[in-house]
Amino acid sequence: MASALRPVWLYTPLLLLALLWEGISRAGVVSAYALPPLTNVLAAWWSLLVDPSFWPHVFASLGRGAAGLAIALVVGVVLGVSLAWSRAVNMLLGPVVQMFYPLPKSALIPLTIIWFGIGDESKIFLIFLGCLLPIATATYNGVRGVDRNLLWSAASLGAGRWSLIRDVAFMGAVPDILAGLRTALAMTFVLLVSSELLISNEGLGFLIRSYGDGSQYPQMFACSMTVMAMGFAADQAFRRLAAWLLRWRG
Amino acid sequence: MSGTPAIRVAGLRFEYGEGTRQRVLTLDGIELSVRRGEFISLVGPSGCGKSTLLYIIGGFVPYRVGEVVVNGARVTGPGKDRGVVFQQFALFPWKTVLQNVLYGLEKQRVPRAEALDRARGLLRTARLDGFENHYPSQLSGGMRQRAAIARTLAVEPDILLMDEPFGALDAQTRSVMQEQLREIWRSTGKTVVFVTHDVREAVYLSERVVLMTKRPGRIKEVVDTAFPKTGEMTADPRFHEAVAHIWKSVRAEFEPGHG
Ligand SMILES: Nc1ncnc2c1ncn2[C@@H]1O[C@H](COP(=O)(O)OP(=O)(O)O)[C@@H](O)[C@H]1O
Ligand SMILES: [Mg+2]
Repeated sequence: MASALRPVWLYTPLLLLALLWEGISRAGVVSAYALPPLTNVLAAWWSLLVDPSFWPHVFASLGRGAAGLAIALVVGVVLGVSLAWSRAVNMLLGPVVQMFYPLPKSALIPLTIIWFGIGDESKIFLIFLGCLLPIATATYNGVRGVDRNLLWSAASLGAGRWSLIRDVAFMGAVPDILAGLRTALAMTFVLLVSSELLISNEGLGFLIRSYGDGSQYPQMFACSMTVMAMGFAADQAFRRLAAWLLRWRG
Repeated sequence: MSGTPAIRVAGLRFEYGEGTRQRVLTLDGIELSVRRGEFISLVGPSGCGKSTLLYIIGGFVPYRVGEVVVNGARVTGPGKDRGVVFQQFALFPWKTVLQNVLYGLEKQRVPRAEALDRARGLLRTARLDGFENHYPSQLSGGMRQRAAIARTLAVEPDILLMDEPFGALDAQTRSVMQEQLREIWRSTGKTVVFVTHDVREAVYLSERVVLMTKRPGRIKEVVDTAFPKTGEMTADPRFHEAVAHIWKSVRAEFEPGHG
């Protein structure tokens, strides 16, 4: 009985929030411009979802995010493993990484536009930059934390240098890499939307700005909700993937 | 060839953090020779360098001063002639039991079918059949250590280096594992270097017990314990004499003024 009711309880706070939103807006506590009633936003959302010209924007954003994150994952893991494994690489690149780490990557948006123009490349590059260091540092910490007895066991079983790196250092770092990847996933959405908002001619960020400029606030909110839904879905999918990859943990 | 010792350590001196302020002289003037097929134990106060000596023989920790020779060749790194077993098992946690045992065979490029055969055979001997597809986290401590030993035996090292392998196990499991290790040693004739702080265990398992001083570790005394053993709970007076003697000698290392 209790378990049948669980979904209801789970979504009660959301429902209350929705009612509050609708009530505040309908009662005129704030202007309907600043906060259009939720029902209007949902109606606008629906008409966007059935409009074929809406989807290319969704796919443009998704493609940019996926490409930037994927490149950052590959480069970040290679960078993190190299920093942890090789003293020479660490001496060469360590200071660069440390300098670059605290820089808010959104500060680089104008620069990426000068370099790559207003299309996909500038967004992909920005996301790559933003996700690279969280993934690289997580990988680095993961590799540094690998139990030396695992490395020694592998070595005495006949593993050479590359086997040690791949089979033990990398595999041992996977839990940390996944934690870094989750941070990077959230970062992807932040950088994606902010770069599209600033300068772009397609994508959800672009739509948000266009609707805002045209004072079509219900549509603008609907686009933000689309981003939120995508972020939520991506995180859920990620959690399942991570749970499966880490199924060996007790 | 049978005349050359399995392991010969001569004039070994070792410092951690050599050339730094925090350098620690850990081993000094170690002389040790282990016969082929011999079972020896290293005992001594905690921190005296037993593990370090074992790791140097294993080729995991590089040394500069002295000589460490295994099967006639100077040790310069790990090798599959020397298998290791650690207290915390050191199984690859992301691999199943079977995958762990297969790992060394894969690295040796043993054909798949033969590797599977050998791995399954070892797991049967370790009474782990039925647990092949379990992850280490799903096993008890004793089962994990049996899996780790099976993984080491898979590549057929002729020397086993064991660092307090039963130290994390409960008393019953430990005595079962001691029996099994003796059986492995008897039937395979491997050379075993066994680190323990359990004097009874050392006397029961080995033919010689090597006693080390407190840090910097030197060899204080070597006690011959090669008499026939019936069990750790034996009434044999030689067993009790050896245990009492070694205990006294180890305890002397803890006298006031020592760490
Ligand atoms: N990686 C290391 N760096 C510096 N000192 C170490 C390191 N490992 C061990 N030591 C020190 O060397 C000494 C011997 O350690 P160890 O060989 O583990 O002793 P045991 O196994 O006999 O307890 C100890 O004093 C320990 O603190
Ligand atoms: Mg030790």
